[in-house]
Amino acid sequence: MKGLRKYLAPFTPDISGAAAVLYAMGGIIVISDAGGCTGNVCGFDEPRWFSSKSAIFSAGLRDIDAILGRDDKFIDKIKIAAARLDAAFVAVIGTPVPAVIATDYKALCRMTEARIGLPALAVDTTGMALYDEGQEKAYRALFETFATCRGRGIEDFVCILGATPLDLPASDSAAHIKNALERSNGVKAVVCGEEGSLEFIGRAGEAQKNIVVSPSGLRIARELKEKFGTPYETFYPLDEFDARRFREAHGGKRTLIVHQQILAEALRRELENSGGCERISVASWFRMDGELMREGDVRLEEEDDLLRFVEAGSFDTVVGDPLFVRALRGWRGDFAPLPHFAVSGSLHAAEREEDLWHGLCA
Amino acid sequence: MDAQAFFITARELYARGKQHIPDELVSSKHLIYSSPAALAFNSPGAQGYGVKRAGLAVPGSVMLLVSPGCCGRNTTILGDEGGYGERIFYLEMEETDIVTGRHLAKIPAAVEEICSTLDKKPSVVMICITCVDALLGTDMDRVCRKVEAETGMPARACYMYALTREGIRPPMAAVREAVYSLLEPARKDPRAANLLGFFSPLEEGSELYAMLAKAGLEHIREIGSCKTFEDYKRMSEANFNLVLNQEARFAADDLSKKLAIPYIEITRFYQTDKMANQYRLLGGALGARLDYAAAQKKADDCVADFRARYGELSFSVGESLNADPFELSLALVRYGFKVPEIFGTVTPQEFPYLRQLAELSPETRIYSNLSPTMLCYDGTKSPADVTLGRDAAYYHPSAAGVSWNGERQPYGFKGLVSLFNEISQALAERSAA
Repeated sequence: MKGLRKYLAPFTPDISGAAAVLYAMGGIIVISDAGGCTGNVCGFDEPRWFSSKSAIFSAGLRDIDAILGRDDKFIDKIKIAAARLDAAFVAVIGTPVPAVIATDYKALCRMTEARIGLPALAVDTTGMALYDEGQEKAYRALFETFATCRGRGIEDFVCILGATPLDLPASDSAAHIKNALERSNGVKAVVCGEEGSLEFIGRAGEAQKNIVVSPSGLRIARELKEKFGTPYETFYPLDEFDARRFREAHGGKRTLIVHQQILAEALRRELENSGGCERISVASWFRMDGELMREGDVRLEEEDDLLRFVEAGSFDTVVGDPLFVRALRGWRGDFAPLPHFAVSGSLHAAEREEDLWHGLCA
Repeated sequence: MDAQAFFITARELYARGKQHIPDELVSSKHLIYSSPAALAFNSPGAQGYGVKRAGLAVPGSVMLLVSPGCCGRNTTILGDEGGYGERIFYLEMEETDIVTGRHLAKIPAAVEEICSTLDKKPSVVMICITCVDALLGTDMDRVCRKVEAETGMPARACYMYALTREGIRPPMAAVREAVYSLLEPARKDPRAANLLGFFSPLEEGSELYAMLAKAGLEHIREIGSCKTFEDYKRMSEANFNLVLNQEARFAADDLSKKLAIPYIEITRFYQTDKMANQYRLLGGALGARLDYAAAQKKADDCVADFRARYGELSFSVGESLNADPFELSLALVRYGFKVPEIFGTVTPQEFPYLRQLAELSPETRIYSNLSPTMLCYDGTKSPADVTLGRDAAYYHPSAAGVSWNGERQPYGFKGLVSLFNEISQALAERSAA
């Protein structure tokens, strides 16, 4: 049945994706909910929550607020918080409640800016889409609000898009990517969303290029190319040592890689380089960009799609989040664990890339 | 810029009165900070029993969560670590469903499909809905009747309505009604009683069991002890219900009307004189003299020994624990300890405790875990020897920490003894570290 899940709990929703992009940027982030959505974001979808602070708050909506649409009360609450905290902006993130009552986010932002005097942006997430869609929306809201620089400029940095903890397989993956890209490009690499990156978002038109490491960053990269002429590339840098271990462990087999598309593509290329592979496919329940898809790749929709696709493709190996094993009942191939926080959260999260590759290549 | 966490002293708060609790301590008046200390508030599934886990308290039950995907996200962990992975299923809503309500029409078929994949027929299917259906005004009783008619499976509704958290019937009260709603009229057994309020049993050795048994109650049943659906159904035989948590009051009311089981409500205290008084009154209501003298002496001795050994320790008391933080703080102060700070939710019901705290420990600072200003809380400015509750431990990681939020519920004199034993152990571990 469409929408019925018997084996896999829901994946990270768009709300958490939006929060992940904004997390470290120094704003007041208000999730327009009754409390449960914020609890899920902070308690389950944000690995940084237990090690670094961020001003993420719940609006604390109650039924009467939703019924009467009390935006003025909502803004009063934000104003009280803003008076006590040092914030660069206010961001409002949507949930199913404002989706039901059709909140006018533009009006909410205008009122917030007028009453509080801080830039305000809204991300119209609904809790019914996946995290990558929320990230896309958050990037767009951020760049629309802050990327005011017109035209090309100094070009002394590259911007990394699509690199939140939800996109990447280990807690230190963003740092690895940043280091690798600084080495290869010879200029500063800025992870869009990291602490201090708001300044660089303001200077988006001056970036040498944008490097997209997961599909959630693709749409904004294309929009920035149109707006500022900034080139972009999709690329996930892998450490040569780790890549070789991966090739040695999994080369020469019919393999399905289930992860975010750009990381999966990078791994596929490694296996192709090892030669002798009959078939290597990429699949994902998350965004699959048409331009990056190859014949035989698939966007999964329902829970049962994975098992059907694996059986139809006669794959020897599936590389993916360990939780997917639940949805592969009866299948007898090899499973190689590649955690995806947006799937299993902290259950299978790897702290370090080293641990990740050790598990993946065992 | 005021970069301090808001607090008020017990003296100041009591002087203001219950009608003038500061806005910073009232969650409906400000944004809610969901720090690691306060996660249990915003995501009860994070620890202990939230609606989903509570809804599965009926033995042999399964749950279908009908909601946007975001509402089921925390179940990833619950499902895997709590062993609920085989018992929770999801029917994800789409945006169109908000307009058309078509998701409701799919529920009977979804239940059918779920049951077809299970080795054993469930005792009941709990159908859990969330804020969206609260706003849509979904008639879940009708949906459940339809499920029962089309599938032959008993179905009950669970309401995970965070929007009604401070309402007359909050979600955790409503779910207690739901889990007892399958009980059917049965012949009363004068030797049987139920303990209502918690989803897991009282801790072993609680004097309450022994006292009630001595008063002739041979069958003391709790939902958390029921291993089978048959065990659960025997709860209908109870001569009375003993309500240990006020969130079970609606359920007890319901059972009183439907099954003619009367109830008595008692409170969890950490002050031994209050416990003794309550047991005396309970005995009066039951027409039996409850023998608690030995248990009381043991508890009093335990506290006195601890006090003699450790002296005037300072406690930081949180609310994420099996206690009312204000009553527990008052108990500690009365036993001769210091309580410089309490992290708790202030309601008018706390004012009897606050009255005494204002007198005995007027400078005790009261914080709300949920205040946005807690982002600025600095624990180094108010060091504590011992923290009680996971929230307090978050603020003072180097203190001897006692979570005191175990599944088996502490109660009465035995509960107090267990608490001090755990505190002793935590202090010993900290010394050894």
